[in-house]
Amino acid sequence: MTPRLSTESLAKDFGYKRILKDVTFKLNPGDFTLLLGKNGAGKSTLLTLLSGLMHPSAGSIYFEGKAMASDPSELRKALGFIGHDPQVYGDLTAKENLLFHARLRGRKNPNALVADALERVGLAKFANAQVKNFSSGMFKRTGIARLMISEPRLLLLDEPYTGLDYKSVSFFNDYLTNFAQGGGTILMVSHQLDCCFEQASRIAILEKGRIDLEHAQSEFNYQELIDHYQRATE
Amino acid sequence: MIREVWTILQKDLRLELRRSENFIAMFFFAFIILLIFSFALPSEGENHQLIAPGVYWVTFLLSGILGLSKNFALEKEMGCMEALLISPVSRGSIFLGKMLGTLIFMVLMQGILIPVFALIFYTPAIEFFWDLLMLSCATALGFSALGTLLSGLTTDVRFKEILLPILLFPLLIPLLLASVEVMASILAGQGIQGELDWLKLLIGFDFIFLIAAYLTFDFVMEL
Amino acid sequence: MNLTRSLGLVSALSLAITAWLVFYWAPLEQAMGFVQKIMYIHVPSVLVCYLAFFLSFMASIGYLWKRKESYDIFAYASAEIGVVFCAITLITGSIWGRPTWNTYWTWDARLTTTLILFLVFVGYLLLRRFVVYSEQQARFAAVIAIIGFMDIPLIHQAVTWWRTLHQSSTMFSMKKGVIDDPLKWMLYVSMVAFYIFFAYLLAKRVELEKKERAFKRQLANLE
Repeated sequence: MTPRLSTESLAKDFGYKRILKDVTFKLNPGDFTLLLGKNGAGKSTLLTLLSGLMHPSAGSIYFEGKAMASDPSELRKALGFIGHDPQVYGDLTAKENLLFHARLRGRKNPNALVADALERVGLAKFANAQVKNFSSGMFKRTGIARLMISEPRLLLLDEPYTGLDYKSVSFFNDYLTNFAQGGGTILMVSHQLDCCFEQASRIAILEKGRIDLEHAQSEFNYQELIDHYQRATE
Repeated sequence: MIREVWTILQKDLRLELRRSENFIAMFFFAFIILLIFSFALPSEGENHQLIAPGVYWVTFLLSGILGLSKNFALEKEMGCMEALLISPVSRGSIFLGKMLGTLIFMVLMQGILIPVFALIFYTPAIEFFWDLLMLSCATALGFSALGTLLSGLTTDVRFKEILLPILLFPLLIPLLLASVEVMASILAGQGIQGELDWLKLLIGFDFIFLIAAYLTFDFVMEL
Repeated sequence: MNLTRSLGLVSALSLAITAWLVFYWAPLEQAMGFVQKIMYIHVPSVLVCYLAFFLSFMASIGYLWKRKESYDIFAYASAEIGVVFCAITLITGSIWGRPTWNTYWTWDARLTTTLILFLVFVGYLLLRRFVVYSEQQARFAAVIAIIGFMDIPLIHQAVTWWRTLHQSSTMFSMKKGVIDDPLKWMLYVSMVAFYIFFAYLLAKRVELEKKERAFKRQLANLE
């Protein structure tokens, strides 16, 4: 089976300092991988590299077997990304923001698609409200709605649970579980282990610029992991 | 690709309309510069025909720079630039969408500015409104092309407000010279084709840098 | 003995020989007298300057294509040296102008083009300073070098036409055809000496930059 996403000796410099040294891993369809590591380990950097926003300083990334360096467009068509920033235009309404992305991707029936997505994330009431007045949880939900519109095969998520209330967390987890079951691949960075530990199928830890551990989630005892993680983040 | 460019352009136009303070600020800035020129330069009518093109284009350049920096600042604000870059839109489409947005606003602004210029500085200019507007379109094209490229380049850089003019203005000198000469011929009643050589240089400049900027925008847009 | 050092010796020697020849062998030019000898610095400087910028342009294209750091270092070093020789060209041109036409600056087409080029590449160096060291800095600088160099023919054309319109001082004649034989040979000799000197400076600067980067890299990656 061709892995959905794989890397080989990936490295990234920031100025003179090498943040990621030698990152090699494979993500298969259906994997839900949780990426852990200290602050400053380079988790966000890794996600940014994988999404094609930056070029690596060394090494390569392969999407469905093809090198990304030569043609990132395949990855971009299949990618869903949630990052630290809201990634919405403050002066446009939620509906306009989503329509923008739907049209950009050439989705048929954009209006219906957007209305449906807003309904599912619970923002239907706010469809015509300017986004600049949203709370951080609402930003995140708009981001999730955008994911749904993109119909991705690969999700790269950086702290997606921040600001979400209990209902939204559970809704999002349902979405993720369905997504993985449908053959989608998920790579998530999150410090909120209580939200996502149960859902994850694999755990990876980024330490000193390398991915050191890569095991099935079932091999971990939740409490042991919290302890290890706390030690690692000290 | 046309669909992508159109979607981006539409979004930018809509944003500008909502936040029209950008346009108004740009316009008022141009107005103030014209006023300053009126005060600073000798007030005789004779001189004004000679100086008029220079005054007009300097105003254009200075107020245009303001409009340029706004363009990308909006995208950077909430991480929208990243959202655009990870979507399957080609960088070339992003460039064209942004460039056309700037172009449209500059031409709109010149449309309002020409009568104001005639009013404050050089009254006969109003007779040549359409010729001047056509010329403004041609100049604004070259300006938007290079300006969008450099504006995208300097967005993340320290001192970007100073660096953008320092980098952009020397590159635009042929554009400036050509525009001044063609405008002088328009004001002298010879129409836009009065200085055909200069006009060709202007169009050539537009053409060359539209292509160069389109091709190099890719390299500017990686993180 | 490595390349840099041997280049250094050869260039020191050739510069010394040239200097001796300029003062003791080259005959005095009838019209301009002693001051004419500054041509032996001015002309080679302008040639080195344009060569340096051309090399920077090529290396920048190479960098964007291959992404190898050595191209970036070469582009940077060449641009830096180009700016220095550009300044020398402008200053020597100015020094020559004073006794000859009683003015420190003349809007001669070639000198003006060189001045604008100076501004463009000083902007390049400023960009390098203002953007923190990263492959982003290398990419941005490469784009500026490419756009800047592409603008040269347009700038030259525009400025030349502009000069013929605004002819206020006498023509700056530097026509090589008018130069007599011994003076011509003197010029060739000094050109060769300057080219060798340029090669030395380039090699040295590249070496320095490589060492500096390697050192900083080591420092940053100490665990």
